[in-house]
Amino acid sequence: MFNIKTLETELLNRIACAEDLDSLEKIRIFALGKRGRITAEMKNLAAMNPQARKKTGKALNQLKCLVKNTLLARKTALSSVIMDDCILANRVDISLPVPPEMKGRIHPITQTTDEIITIFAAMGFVVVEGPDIESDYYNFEALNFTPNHPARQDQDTLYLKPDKNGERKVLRTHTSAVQIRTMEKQSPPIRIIVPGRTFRSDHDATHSPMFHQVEGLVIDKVSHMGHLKGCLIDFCQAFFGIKDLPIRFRPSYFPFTEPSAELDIGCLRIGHELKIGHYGDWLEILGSGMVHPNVLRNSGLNPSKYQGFAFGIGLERISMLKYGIPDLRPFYENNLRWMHHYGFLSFAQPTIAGGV
Amino acid sequence: MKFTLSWLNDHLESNSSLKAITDKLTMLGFEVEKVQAPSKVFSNFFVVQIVEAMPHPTVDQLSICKVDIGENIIQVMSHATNTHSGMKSIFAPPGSYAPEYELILEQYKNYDANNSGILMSEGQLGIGNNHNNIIDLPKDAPIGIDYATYAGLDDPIIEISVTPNRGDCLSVRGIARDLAASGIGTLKSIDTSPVNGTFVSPLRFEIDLPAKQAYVCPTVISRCFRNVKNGPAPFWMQKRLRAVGVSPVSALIDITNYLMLDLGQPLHIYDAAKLHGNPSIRLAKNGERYLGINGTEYTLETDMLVISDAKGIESIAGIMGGKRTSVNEDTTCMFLEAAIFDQISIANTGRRLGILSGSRYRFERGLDYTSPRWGVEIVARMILKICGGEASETVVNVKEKLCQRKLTMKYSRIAAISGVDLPSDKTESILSALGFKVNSSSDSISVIPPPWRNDVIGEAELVEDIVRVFGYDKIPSASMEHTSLISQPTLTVEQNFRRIIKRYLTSRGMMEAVTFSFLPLRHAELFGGGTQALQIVNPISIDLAAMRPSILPNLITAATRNINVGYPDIAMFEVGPQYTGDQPEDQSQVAVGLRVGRTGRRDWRNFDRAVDLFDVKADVIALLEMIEVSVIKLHLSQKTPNWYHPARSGCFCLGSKIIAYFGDLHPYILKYFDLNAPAVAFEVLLDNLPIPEQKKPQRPLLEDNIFQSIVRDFAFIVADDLPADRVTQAVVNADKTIINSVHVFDQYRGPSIPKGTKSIAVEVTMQSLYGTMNNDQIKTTSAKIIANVKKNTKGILRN
Repeated sequence: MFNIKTLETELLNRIACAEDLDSLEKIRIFALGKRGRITAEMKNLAAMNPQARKKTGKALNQLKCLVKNTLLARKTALSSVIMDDCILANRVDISLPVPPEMKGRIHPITQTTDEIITIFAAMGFVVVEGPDIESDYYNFEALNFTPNHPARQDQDTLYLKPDKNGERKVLRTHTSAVQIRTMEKQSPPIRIIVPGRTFRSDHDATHSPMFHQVEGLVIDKVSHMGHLKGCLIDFCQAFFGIKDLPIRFRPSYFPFTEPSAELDIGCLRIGHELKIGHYGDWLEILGSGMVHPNVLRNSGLNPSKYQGFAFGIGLERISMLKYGIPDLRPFYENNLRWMHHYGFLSFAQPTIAGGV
Repeated sequence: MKFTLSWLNDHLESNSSLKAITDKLTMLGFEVEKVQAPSKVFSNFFVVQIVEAMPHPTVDQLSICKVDIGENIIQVMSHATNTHSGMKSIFAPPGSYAPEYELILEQYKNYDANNSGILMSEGQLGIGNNHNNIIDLPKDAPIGIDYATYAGLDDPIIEISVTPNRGDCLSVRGIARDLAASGIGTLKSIDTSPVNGTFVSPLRFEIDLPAKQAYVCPTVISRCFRNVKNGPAPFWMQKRLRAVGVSPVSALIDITNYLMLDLGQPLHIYDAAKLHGNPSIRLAKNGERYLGINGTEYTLETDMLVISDAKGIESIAGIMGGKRTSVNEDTTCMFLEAAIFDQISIANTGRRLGILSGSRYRFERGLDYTSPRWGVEIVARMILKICGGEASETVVNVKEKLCQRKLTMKYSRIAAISGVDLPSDKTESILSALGFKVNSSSDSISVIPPPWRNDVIGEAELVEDIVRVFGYDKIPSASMEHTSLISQPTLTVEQNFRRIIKRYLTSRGMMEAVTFSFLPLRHAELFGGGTQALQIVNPISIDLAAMRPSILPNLITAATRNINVGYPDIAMFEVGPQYTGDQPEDQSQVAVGLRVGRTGRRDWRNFDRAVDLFDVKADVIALLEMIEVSVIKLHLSQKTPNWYHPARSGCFCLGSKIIAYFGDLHPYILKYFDLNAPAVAFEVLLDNLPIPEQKKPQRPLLEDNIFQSIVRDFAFIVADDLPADRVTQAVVNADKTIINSVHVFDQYRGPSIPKGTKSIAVEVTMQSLYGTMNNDQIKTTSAKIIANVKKNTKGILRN
């Protein structure tokens, strides 16, 4: 007599042993196909007596159901294993390099200029610019340089070939020329900074024929030397990020300011290395002073009504100091290795919120 | 300006330390460049006397000396040829450090078992060139004192820089005066009383100047001396001169040099016996020649002020004396010139002749115009004391009128400018100590500046003197007052765009370069520049002789330099000025980029490739979008300057304005710069960009279209030379309400299409405002597209 239990055991066993979807399909056909074992047994029911048919029919239906479910479960399990294998077969070597990209850096001159602009922006200054090719008037005469002042000589100043009127244009020796241009156009109060290119007839280890300055000018009715000191102390402390940076104002002379002062910061020199801070030695970083009455007059302002101060910062110098760049010359050689090393990331934009 | 501490103390009664003095000098505006105290260097060496010198019994050229070193008598060996009994010299004990050789002396160990030290030559001491003879000191040199003290080398030497406005401080006395005013001691008085002449001067100056030029010689005073003995100057004077770097010559010359340094008055002396008639002060004739005291012959020009006699020019006024009439040890009769010459005249002459002298330096910066008056008395007193003889009466040719320039200033102005509220008595005492004649009322002060302060012109200089002497460090610092300016942006729109462009191009992998504004003339010419107006008269070098008409050549130069040191792939940019003329409006801001070589290092998936013009076209478009330029409004042309490849470059324009160039560099340019790699560049003319409208921060409302968009591809066969953007324009214009975007995704040339044509494949996105498009609508739109492309480009749909 056909033993349904034996069939069940056999089928379940074979399903459990199936290793892939093909053998599973064969088992399904073997059990449930048109000529399958269960199908065959079902056909035999017709010949049975009603009692036996009822009992065997129920058992067969239960077996059919069980086999179907077991097949499905096994299929799902096998599929997921196969999927996983497929996925894993796509393995790549993640240590391989990413697609090539060029790397850019912001030049220290730009970064330093942006830092200076950010700090003075917080003090209410606006950025003004002027031409690199200047007239003698704006570069010297209006700034109270006497006609025989040594700075006007060919060995100090670069001149362009004279025009048909015999006038020689000057490659501006300082951004101070923009003081006059600004005061001619704008009425006080004035608070400007002027970053820009400047030129002098000098080329050695510490001088470049082209360099950068940031001029500052404050004109109103009240700003005095105390403000000059306060403004520049605030600037230096913010720029170098040293709260108690030692700062000294020392009398000096410039034709376009009176009184004039040079600003020194505390430092230490050990061989070629330079440290900033309380060490007893001093390093000059900028020139400044109260705008000379002649300069105000030359710009159309009444010196008994208006006054103020001006300053000029050498960009390369403070950039070198802040970032420990030892040599001036590579600033304009544009050597990629140097630019990579001393340059800045594009998103390192100085901000008051993020710090300068 | 150099001087010694003891020299300063001749004018300054002070107990202050050297450190206090140098600190104060700095805070008075005299930058201290060097303080040299050599006493430590020489303190090992002593004055001794050779009691007895005899030749060594066995060694040639060696002598054995018995030497009195003060405490006892020792035996010392010497190779010198000049040792003799009774002579005084300098002795170095064994193990002394000789600075000149940077070694410890132990020279005669081989002969001298006791190693008892050595007798020194000038060479060994580092004070002269004589290495063979030991130093022979005067008989009065005290035995046992150290050499530094004996020679006055214990006197610290101070070197300061004097700003060009302070000609009065090119003298020890001037410096002492400023120090005294600032509270470092008191200024000693000097004797300027007249020295009465005993005879009438046989010589006098003739002034031979045209009336218009008379101003160049406002004061001339002279005096004659006879029966003088021009031996060596006293030791103390020689010592001081040597300390500040002036070589002693003879008493008369040393005295004039000394007084120039001491009091700031340049004097000139002539050997009266060598003068042919009265010297005249006149302008040189063009081409006239003159032999300077330095032995150099100079050719003069018409407006140079000279002093000459019947035999020709003997000195350049205020700059340099002449060889012919110079004094020497035989001089017994001397003619003295104390004068004031015009600053500008001296400066021009000195500069053109290229002569630097202490005298020119002082004249150029302006002298105390009264100095010839007292100068002739002081120098006479010193000559009579040192050289003996007699002085004549003074001869005054011209004498400038005493100028009583009076300046009046309200006290309140001092505080208003300096920020310090000084008590009025403090102000007065500072100015008086500086030599100003002060008269004050309750609210104002009126002063007459001293004759040596020709830099004090107005209120500003007075305030400067007051606060400088008071101390800049005592000015209370005050932070800037807050203003409402903060609401105004610090940068203009254009400046901000430049900031954005630099940061953006950097983030695209380009290195920011900063190159010179000048370049070689040939480079300028290759890039459309090099005009006369933009050439530098006095360039630092021939490679920096013209202003750049474009940034590109400088970037190419930088790129080739990098390639030559092993960096073949370059992506570099500069944002900066270029120049088309010498007027302010001829300078414009340009963003320039250069890509050379490949897009990156070799890649295992071959993602690297040679750079091409579409890299720089992408740079330009992205850059313009970054600064809110609507690229769609630009039109493209092929008109580019001749440094671009004529068939592989383009130009973006807005109306008639050129916005940007991009493309391959011209092969000739590559060849000229020796660049053997693909090179593409762009130039964005930032000043030609439209000025952005002042926009309110609010955006227009978003018009959202919720209906599904449909993408269809079309390929058109068009003429080979038809720009692809003509096809895309024709597609867009077919139905602007429905066609959202068109994108060229393929270009094909080949055997499957007719010769002389190409296939342009576009991907078109359509979307209706009124509902999802059905097949009919898509068909209608497609038909419109095909028709419009045919109409505008003669292109036909490819099957």
